[in-house]
Amino acid sequence: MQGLCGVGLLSATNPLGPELLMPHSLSTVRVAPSLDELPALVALVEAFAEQHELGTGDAFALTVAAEELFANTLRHSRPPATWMELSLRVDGADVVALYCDDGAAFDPTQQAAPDTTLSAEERGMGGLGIEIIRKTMHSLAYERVGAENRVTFRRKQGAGISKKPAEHG
Amino acid sequence: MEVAIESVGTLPVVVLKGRLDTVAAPLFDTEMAPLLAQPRPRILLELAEVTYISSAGLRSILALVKHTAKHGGRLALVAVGAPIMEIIEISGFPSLMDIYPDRESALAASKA
Repeated sequence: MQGLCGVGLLSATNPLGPELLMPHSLSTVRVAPSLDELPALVALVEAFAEQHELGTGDAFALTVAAEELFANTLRHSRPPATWMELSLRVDGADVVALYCDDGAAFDPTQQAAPDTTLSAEERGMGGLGIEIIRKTMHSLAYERVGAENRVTFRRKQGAGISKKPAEHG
Repeated sequence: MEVAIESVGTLPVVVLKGRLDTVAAPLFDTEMAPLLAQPRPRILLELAEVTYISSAGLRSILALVKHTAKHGGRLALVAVGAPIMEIIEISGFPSLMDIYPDRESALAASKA
């Protein structure tokens, strides 16, 4: 079985759900750990956005999230990952994405938020990519399964790039 | 990604087009290197035709913020589209730079 983020995606308990078993609803791409592969990830998100008539803000936010996770793995994983994979599906008014790789364990939900009150001289770039994901996705979850990182993120469709405020609380 | 460096008097105006992502950002940095070889307290960065930016692109913009600050000035961002502005706001960058709706207002404010 290739291109399904290991066997976990086939499980009904997987956050992406059992619908992914149906090939026609599966939007997934597996890429090699090379900058040359970024356009393939972007193409998947754009094709998915067009197919499901997502708004431009949704497409932008999903593309950024995928790029940030991909770039993080590429830049930081030691030993390097040998593959990265992105799968997308629509769940009602939400889009749910699963990003996996076989790189070193890295939990983005544990990454500290950058201090945005610092001056220009003091300001660093650490954590900014993950912070953008937090501010544009309604949920972000991490699991280490065997030798795989699995990051699930979910976005409620809506105008703009920043996530809409939660309806409750 | 395309970069053009123009000048208005001694003021550099950098016009950026296309996607500023993980692939393009290092190329943009390379294009900026000769400009930054001189002290530049003020740079206008025009983003009207930038369609996409990620944290890699923000990192490149931060390098310009730091360069201008080091020389006693501030970066001027010009004609930023709504999606790009949202990413800049999420990142807490607006307080680090001056932001203008068009080149005319940026130039007027940069004369002093």
